[in-house]
Amino acid sequence: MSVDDSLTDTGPDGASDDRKKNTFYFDRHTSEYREQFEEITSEMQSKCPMAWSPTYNGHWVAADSKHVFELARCPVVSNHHDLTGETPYQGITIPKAQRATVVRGGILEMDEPEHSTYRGALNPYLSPAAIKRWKPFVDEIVRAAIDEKIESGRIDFVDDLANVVPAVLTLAMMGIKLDKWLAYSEPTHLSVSTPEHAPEAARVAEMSREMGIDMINNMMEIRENPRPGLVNALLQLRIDGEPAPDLEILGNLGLIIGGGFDTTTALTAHALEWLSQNPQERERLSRDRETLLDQATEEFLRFFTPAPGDGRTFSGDVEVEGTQFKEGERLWISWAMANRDPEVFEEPNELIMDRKGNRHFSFGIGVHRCVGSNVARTVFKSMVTAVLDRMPDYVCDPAGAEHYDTIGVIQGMKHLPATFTPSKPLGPGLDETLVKLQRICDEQLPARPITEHKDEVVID
Amino acid sequence: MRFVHDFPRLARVFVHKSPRKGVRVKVSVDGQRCQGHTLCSMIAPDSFVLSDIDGSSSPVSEDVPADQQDAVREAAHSCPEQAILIEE
Repeated sequence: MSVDDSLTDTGPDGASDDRKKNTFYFDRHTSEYREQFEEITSEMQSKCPMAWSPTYNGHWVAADSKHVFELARCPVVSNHHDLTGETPYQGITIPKAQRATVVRGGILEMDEPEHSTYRGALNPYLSPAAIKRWKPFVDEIVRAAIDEKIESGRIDFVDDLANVVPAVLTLAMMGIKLDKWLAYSEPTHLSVSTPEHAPEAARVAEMSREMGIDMINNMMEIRENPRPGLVNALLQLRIDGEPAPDLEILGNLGLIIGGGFDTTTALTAHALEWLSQNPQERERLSRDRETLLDQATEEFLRFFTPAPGDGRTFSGDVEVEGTQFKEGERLWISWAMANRDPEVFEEPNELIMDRKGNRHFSFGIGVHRCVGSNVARTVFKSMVTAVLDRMPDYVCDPAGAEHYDTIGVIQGMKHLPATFTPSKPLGPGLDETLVKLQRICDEQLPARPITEHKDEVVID
Repeated sequence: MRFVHDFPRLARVFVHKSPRKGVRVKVSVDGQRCQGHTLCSMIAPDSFVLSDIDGSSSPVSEDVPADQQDAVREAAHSCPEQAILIEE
């Protein structure tokens, strides 16, 4: 990748285009981008914070905080995904996914006013007050997942903890049976980490298809016999008196699963790996958690930015911060690079757990702020706190730690094995606990919206 | 001219040296900008209240008590949407 400040044209029309004079060959899907992330970020921010890249049919890249902030809030920057493929509106992915796309990516691929209509249905299930009710439930899944491994002195923080907890909680909130968690978790993680040409891609596609069928079955079942949760929220939604189309409901369910699983897993794995490499900081976080855990969580979010960016499409001609954009042009908004902007963050490439003024970009900016941000924080804090309490001397095995090859979609980890001093379990293992938690879901109906039900889950 | 020129500097020194409790600080949240990131209530939980429905923020009161002024300034500085306005 390199900066090319020449005036040569990169546009499709072959004519010289001064607007695109700051050209940077940007390919975030390469392992080079992962390996040289800090250098590339610094180079782009100093030379071309608003760059034109010829990659993937050409697109803009916003690499600093100022452009990311303005463009993410710009009314003529669109999230819409036109499934016909007849217009340039291709939603949030760059390049367009190779697999045939049959649904939009829920509210993340909608513009106003449609976006707010759907989002309004989801918010009362996902607000800070709504998520606070689930905390005992989250702590209980975490306890059981750790109890599975606590006597052995060995755990894989990805496979045995960070893949389990977000999946079980998300299904509970949706109103889907908890014992299905593996059928949802496996394809969701694997479809992000498996390249489309990899030999196992066919198996992953088949698992994803089965998950899709289960989602459709749940939707039809809940339509016949309503039970509370996010599926029901979307089924009950009325737009001009009409129910939402099934494909839009499925798109939103897919977004909830895709958004809820791999991102929190990625954040937790990276944080636990860093804390293993920085044992004094780990001790400090454990000791000062009352005051430090909130701040440290935001700093882990900034530093590791699980969802590194989003694609957009300009829906009109517009000038922003001195650059002219034209309708139909595509744009990559890099939350990950904005999070390393020295204009906003002192020593941006240092992880400073008690960082002040940490207005990070990790949940996005503007109306599309991650709808699950409160879930992510709650689940992350529960997992990290339990690890600090129950395996305070854990050491990650660098030879077994496996990062995603590329960070174009999610900055994730496949595996993070660790060893620790064994101890006794505090309760039953995962399977038995899931049976109990399913009973609690059925009896207490915690998946109702905050407008109907305000009590915390009681683990009895 | 010299007096006028120096006045802002003298005024700043005066404000800086005045007792903390004497500084009046007003805070507001721009409802159009706030997207419910919730950082303000994490940093200054006594000064911001979040909607149960969507987590959007409002100040508990327009006038910020002296013992919460630093936290409210930090909250404004940390807001990802830059939606918190402070007048002092």
